[in-house]
Amino acid sequence: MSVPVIETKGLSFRYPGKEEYILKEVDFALLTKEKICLRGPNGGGKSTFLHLLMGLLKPTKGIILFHGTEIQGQKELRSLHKRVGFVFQDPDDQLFCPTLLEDVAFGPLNLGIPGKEARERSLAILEKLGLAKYASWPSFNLSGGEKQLAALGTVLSMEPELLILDEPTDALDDNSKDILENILLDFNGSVILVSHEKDFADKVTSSSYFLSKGTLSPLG
Amino acid sequence: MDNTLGISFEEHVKKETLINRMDTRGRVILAFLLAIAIAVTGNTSSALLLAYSAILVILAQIPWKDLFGRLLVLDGILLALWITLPLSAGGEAFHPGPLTIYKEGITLALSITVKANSAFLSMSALLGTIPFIELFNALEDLKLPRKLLLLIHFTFRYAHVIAAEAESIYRSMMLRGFAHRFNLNTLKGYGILLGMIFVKSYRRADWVMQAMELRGFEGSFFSLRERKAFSAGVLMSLVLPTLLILGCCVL
Repeated sequence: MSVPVIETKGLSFRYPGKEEYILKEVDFALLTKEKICLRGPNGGGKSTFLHLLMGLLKPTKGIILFHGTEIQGQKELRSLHKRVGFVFQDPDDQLFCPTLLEDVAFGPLNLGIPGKEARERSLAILEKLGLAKYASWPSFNLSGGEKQLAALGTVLSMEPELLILDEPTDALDDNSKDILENILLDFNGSVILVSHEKDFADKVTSSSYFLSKGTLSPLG
Repeated sequence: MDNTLGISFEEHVKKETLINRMDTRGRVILAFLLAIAIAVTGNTSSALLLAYSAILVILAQIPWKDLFGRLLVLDGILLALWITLPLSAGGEAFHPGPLTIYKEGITLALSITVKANSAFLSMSALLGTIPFIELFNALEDLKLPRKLLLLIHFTFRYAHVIAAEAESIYRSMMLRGFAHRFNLNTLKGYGILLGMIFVKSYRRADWVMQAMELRGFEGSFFSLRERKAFSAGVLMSLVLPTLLILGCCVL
């Protein structure tokens, strides 16, 4: 049996100073190329769960494993960040460079990819997203939907093996949603998608989990 | 550039003006020289530099009506100096009615007004008509430290986001009956608005930092751009304007 890409064992979390646990003893495993959707009520802990997976929050109890290795220190975190792409709910958090092209190339350049290759890779991603014409624009000139796609581009350019998306369809019109759908269907890795849009999620993922009152359970 | 904050005069950037034909880096250097000249010179030179700045505005073809609105804001702030300095600066005085007005105060207020208006006009003409990204690139070509550049960039980039958030909170307050009145409730409302903007900005700074770290940021910034060489033509184009600034300073 193959080792899961990412796995949690007995993962519990509560915010400092709070009595109530947001997550209680969550056991979860995502296999290679598995695409799942995470659903649940607002405030149910979906974003917190994603932030824990990415190492942005520290578990109160339990462990997180990436390819079987427990995420403990900076070394494991860096390795995780290089291989897992996380798309934030608000694209303005993710688009901070002077131009869109530089935003998309930011990750590859940090990975040590030479400038020419990073540029070519970023342009190809922007082309795929239908944003190539905005490559030299500052990102704040884009519409909400374009920003959301651009935010996806910033992680796709790092060629991640796992893509985590936190409500990516919020600001998208039908056309942009189609682009996102095609990209997720073509994506040759694992996906964790948080979305309230059931139809969209059903098209791009193969199974769903429900997170509520701190408990994660498979759906259907 | 998104000009929703009214920061620049970029709508005039596409005009074929003498200022727009100048190299961006040359304009930055000229603006820097002019800023120093305005700051250090005496009253006569300041008046000449005000005229110089006004000529730059004419050359940049920025419509005066666009400028006046912003000048009004600046001069509105300076009005406070005109109210306080003549009454408090000390020195030689005259007495219109019950008041004691000090000439020194009037001279000082006038000097500050002239310098502030000169700086505003010259910066509007030279820098305000440059798209932000080109200005950023010019500063990079002039070898400003990358961290300082990014600080400038982040300030500009997120000013738009923070302004949008402030507007959204303000609208929500208005929709719930908030109105400008001269009372404690209005002040409290603005206090809440400022507090919320501060908290949101602080949280956003955290999120942006997280987003950077998730994309492999380890403290070094890499750029895709190749720096442009500084040509003799750029330096030559600076000779006449710089001589004129010096001339204003010497007089």
